[in-house]
Amino acid sequence: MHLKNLYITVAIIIGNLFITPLISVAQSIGGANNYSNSLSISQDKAIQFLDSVQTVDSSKHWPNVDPVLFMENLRFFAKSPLKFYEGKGTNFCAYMALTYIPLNYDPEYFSRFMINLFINGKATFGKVNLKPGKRVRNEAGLIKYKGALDISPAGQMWFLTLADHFKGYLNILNHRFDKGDENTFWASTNFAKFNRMLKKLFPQFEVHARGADIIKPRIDNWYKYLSEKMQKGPVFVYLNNRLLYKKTHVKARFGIPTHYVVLLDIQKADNGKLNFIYWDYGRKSLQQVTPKFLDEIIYGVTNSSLKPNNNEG
Amino acid sequence: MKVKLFISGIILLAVLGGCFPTQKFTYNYYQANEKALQRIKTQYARLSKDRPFSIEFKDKAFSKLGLEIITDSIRYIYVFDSDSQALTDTLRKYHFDERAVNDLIYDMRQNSCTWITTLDYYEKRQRKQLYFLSIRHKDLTAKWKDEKYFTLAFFSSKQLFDHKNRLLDKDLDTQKRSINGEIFYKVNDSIAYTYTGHFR
Repeated sequence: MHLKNLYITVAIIIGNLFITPLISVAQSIGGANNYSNSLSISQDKAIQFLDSVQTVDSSKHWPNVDPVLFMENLRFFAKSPLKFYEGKGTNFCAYMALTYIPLNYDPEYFSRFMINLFINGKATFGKVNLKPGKRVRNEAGLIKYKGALDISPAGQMWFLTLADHFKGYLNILNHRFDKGDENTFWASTNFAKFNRMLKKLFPQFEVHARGADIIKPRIDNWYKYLSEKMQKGPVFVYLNNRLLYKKTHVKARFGIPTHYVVLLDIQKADNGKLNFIYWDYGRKSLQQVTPKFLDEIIYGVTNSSLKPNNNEG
Repeated sequence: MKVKLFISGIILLAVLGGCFPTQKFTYNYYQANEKALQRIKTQYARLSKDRPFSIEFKDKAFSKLGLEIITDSIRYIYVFDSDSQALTDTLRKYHFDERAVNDLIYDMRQNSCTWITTLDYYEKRQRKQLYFLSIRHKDLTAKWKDEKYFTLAFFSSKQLFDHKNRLLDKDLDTQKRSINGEIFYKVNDSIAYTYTGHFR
């Protein structure tokens, strides 16, 4: 290990001993739903940390990750969390959705974790020891034709690491990574796996889920239900992407959920429709929908809230 | 024996017919419709330059229109009946050239264009953009065939193609460049096409 990398590792370990728990950062930005593009205190801390690190040497664990671009990516994530992008046509949407929590509540923790992962090839996030296999470590930095993900080796590292570690029943038939698997069942996430990931990665949060992969939850008034859930903390919605983003004119016989978004807001519009405001594909979107349409596309809702009197760091 | 051969031949033809798009939609289709397709692309490029947006026809009858307006902070996604007052009001609200956008919508409908947008791609880590449009034509669809779209990618610069006319990656000139997960083929130096099961 290079001396500089050793120094950074020691700095990270020392830093982690004093790391501000997620809860205090969340409180410092004013509660669960204080969505803002301006630099918050926690974003400042992340940038200060990255400035203190400045550069990293190439990592033997991640041979195709350019260290300069990697550091640029981390700064970009800290400054513009809502521009974090899962790539066009990948199955990384679940990992992208849950990344909303660290990027918006504690980007410093995320930055420290990423640098640790880069230098050591393994790192701990929440309750999870992540040690990605050689195949995914060799692939990070090489994924192409996915829009801005092409120039985000740090994003590729994060997505590949999560997909390599967490497995659900959708991954049974394709358990081992091969090139191109970011688009296949290898990267897919069923609803139970998604909720399990949230609980393990963010033990500071209480996670409640309603819905399933095939059976939709029965909710009479989605506006009321989602508005109430949003008061407590981040809300993730598991939905039918073929209806949210129509890609063909064939009417699908079976509706299945394949996409995760973070709900940012829901409003009643003047024309009787609902403004469904969510985060996916590296941007905030407002889609005007009827309540019936919303009922048709939603298969699962996961709401999270910071645990009271949380002592877990 | 002859009957069996005949039936096998019919089945084979049906299968092949279902797998491959009609010959009409190749280079010749673009040539035959070049003027209209270029007009759509040019008009869209002009209108979306300062105010990025995408247009989608959501139904086979080309009557339900999706409009995506992209700003720095948010993307607005609306669905209208294409002749509705709400569409006009929205275009006005976002300061679009109403007449020009309506002309574009008219041209898209006339040419069975279901989707037009701008896509980002990267060359040597530099962000570049291409215009992407999809055509849903009756000759590409039938009850016994999967839905197919003819899609065109308009680049602003000359592209590389291999001996089979497949679009190549300029960074790695032996590797085929994929757009929306599809391999594209040469129409000319800066335009490529493909057939795909999805229009966006």
